[in-house]
Amino acid sequence: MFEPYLLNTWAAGTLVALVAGVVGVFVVLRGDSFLAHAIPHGSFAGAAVAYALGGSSLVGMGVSAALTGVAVFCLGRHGRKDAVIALLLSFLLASGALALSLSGGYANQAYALLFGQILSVSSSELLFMAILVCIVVLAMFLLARPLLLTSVMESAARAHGLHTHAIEFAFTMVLAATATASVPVVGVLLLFSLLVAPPAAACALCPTMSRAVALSCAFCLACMWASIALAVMTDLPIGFFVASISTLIYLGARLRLKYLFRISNENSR
Amino acid sequence: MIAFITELLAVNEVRTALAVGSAVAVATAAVGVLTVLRGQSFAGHALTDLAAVGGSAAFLLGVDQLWGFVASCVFSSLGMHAIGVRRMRGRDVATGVVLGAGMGLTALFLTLARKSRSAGSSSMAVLFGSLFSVDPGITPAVLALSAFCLVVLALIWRPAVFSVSSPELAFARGVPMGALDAIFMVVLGVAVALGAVSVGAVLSTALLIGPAACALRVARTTHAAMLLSCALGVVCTWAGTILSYESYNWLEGKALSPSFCIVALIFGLYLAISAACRLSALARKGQVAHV
Amino acid sequence: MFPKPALEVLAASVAFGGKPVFSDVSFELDYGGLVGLIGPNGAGKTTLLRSVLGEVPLASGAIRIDGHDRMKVGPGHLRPGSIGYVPQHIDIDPELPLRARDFVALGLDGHRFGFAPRGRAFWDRVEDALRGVGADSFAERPVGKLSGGQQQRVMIAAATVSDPALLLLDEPLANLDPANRSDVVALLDRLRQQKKMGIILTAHDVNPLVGVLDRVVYLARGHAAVGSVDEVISTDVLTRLYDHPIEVIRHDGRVLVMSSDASD
Repeated sequence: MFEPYLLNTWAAGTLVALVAGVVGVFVVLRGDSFLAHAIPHGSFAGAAVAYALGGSSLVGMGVSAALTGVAVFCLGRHGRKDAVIALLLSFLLASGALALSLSGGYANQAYALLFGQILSVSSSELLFMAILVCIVVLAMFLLARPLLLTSVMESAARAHGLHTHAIEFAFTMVLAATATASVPVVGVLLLFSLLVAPPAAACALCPTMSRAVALSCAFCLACMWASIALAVMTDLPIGFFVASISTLIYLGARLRLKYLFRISNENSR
Repeated sequence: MIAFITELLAVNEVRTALAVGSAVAVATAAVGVLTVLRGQSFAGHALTDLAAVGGSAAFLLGVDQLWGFVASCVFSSLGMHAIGVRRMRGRDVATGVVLGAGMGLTALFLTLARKSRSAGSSSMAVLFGSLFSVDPGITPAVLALSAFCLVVLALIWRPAVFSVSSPELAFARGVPMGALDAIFMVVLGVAVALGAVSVGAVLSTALLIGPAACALRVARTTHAAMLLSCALGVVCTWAGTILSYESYNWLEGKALSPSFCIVALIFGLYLAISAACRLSALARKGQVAHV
Repeated sequence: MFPKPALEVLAASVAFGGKPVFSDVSFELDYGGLVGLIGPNGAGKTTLLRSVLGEVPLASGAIRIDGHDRMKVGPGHLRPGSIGYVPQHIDIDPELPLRARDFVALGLDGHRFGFAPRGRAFWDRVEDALRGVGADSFAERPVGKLSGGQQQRVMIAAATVSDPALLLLDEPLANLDPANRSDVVALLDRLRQQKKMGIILTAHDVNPLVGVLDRVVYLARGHAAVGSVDEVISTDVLTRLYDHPIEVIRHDGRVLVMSSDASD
């Protein structure tokens, strides 16, 4: 399991888990689940087109994720946000599938992009991902308080002179960067699980933001490491394990809450 | 022009594609109007991804995908209804988690299927669909399910719109909100499953939301919205199918898949209508300024 | 044989998670009567309305509408259209494809499954309701694009078009300017006389309602004082209710309720 050729995967997985843990807490807080779902779909299209043209899929992913973020942000302000994002998602996925089918590498490449692949990360890509993750963490560090205020009390945020739209846009870009760093390992369709389930579990269990972020990272790391190990052992896609384990974590947190609630109710009688 | 159409209709795959596609388009477009009105686009999207679970399971088992789609959609939609938290935010996360789990299962089933047979690209068909390779034998089933959606929609239309426009008053008037929700979710599930047959599980959202969103931008009454939505859905399906078929001639052996064409047309239509609405709103402001 | 009151609240109490919201509230509302549920924010006025509506269960006591025990009978089984409800926040999607007329129409048949045809008589009733609230001038406009005040009128029309026994309004005067406020008060007064429906509304300031209320139910700190405006809004009663020195000043037909604590 710890063969040298897998070191990159472990490193990439760790980075992905950390960034998903941090960003995911805000996604859950803001109710931006749908957006977190949409941006990876956009990166699928970019990666597919890049692959079809023979270029670096990581760059393609980054560019298209950013563009998707911009598009959702702009379109979402005029029409019904949900509907627009749904349509954009479908179009991007369809385009990606088309690009792949026209270039001939269809099933395998699509598969890897959609569900993630263990051997997907080269050393140069790993460096790129590491830089991206550092940028994201730094950005989140700067954005954390204003973003929190904007998400919870938008009018108060504006009253304090915050440019709420700019902050929300910045967060959209953070999501795009997160997606770009994470998709090669986890896959488009399954990144979403990592971004939502463990952070939601952490939010449910922790009363303060800082504890929630810490617990969220811990959950994501545990999930990621277990998934890599299981994927190596069974030759099944990483994404499947990531999704399953994060769901179990979420269910565990919810059940524990119910259990604690029942105990506290009995105590107060 | 007529000759062109007759020529196309002579081809079996095209006929099946158009028949199935139209039946699906009408059902999904109609259900889509209510979905968008109820603000449940995300739930609709989540269901389409969950459809993939059923489709891939069916694929693994060698059963026709339609039944896989229907089973997983209806089961998921009722599950979502049962879990459904009243708070919007709660519903968001819960839906998302179920979605993620479903996708994981899809990955599992498709991988197992690809290993057990050299299935290759047909596993992608579960996700992305292909109207031309639909088994003509399921056409009656598709028509029946589509009719089912339309009939149930007609029955719940007024209370459903009422519960969207004035929820408290609807409750006071005795509209059974819980039962209405459950019924709608079942219809939504069936519609999404039908959409998955046409353009694939992952893209089914476009058929559900696209024509409906376009119609709602323009229509002034809910009936007009529904009729327009169905019309747009059918038009896009036909145009997309024909475009895809013809592209085989232009692209020397490769082709634009019908799913791509239909989805692209729907998306383009939405952008066009959005732009037109925005332009006309600006023009109206300009007119007022001139007066 | 006296006709049953439209609404009877008998020693009603509601508690959330063990904490009492209000206890032992009793009052009656006759057909054609107008009762004001007055009190500060958080006193439980909305909760009491929701109990009447059937959304919030009672911890003890009973609520009867037209003689039927509320808790035993669901909203659909009361005399058809027995309760109309106008919420405090009218949250209409600006892009909802319904004209004001369609919106009101739903108040009449929106609860029926299927496709019962809407004939001449139906639309006449809708038209009457719209005219009754002065909304006929904008009946054709999309309801989502109307102003807040216009939407409120349409909402009242939708709630009353089915000739309910009882009309509940939650803070209908809260966000209106004085001119609009007196318009709405006059409208409600007219409605209860013409349609003989019992109207109960909540407010935190009794002044706009002084001339029209039959009865005040003043809710504060979990308890209620019931009586006419003069009886309830008095120094003694309110001091007792708030358990705090209160002074009520009357001037020129207006009422001012003040804390008479020296520290204020």
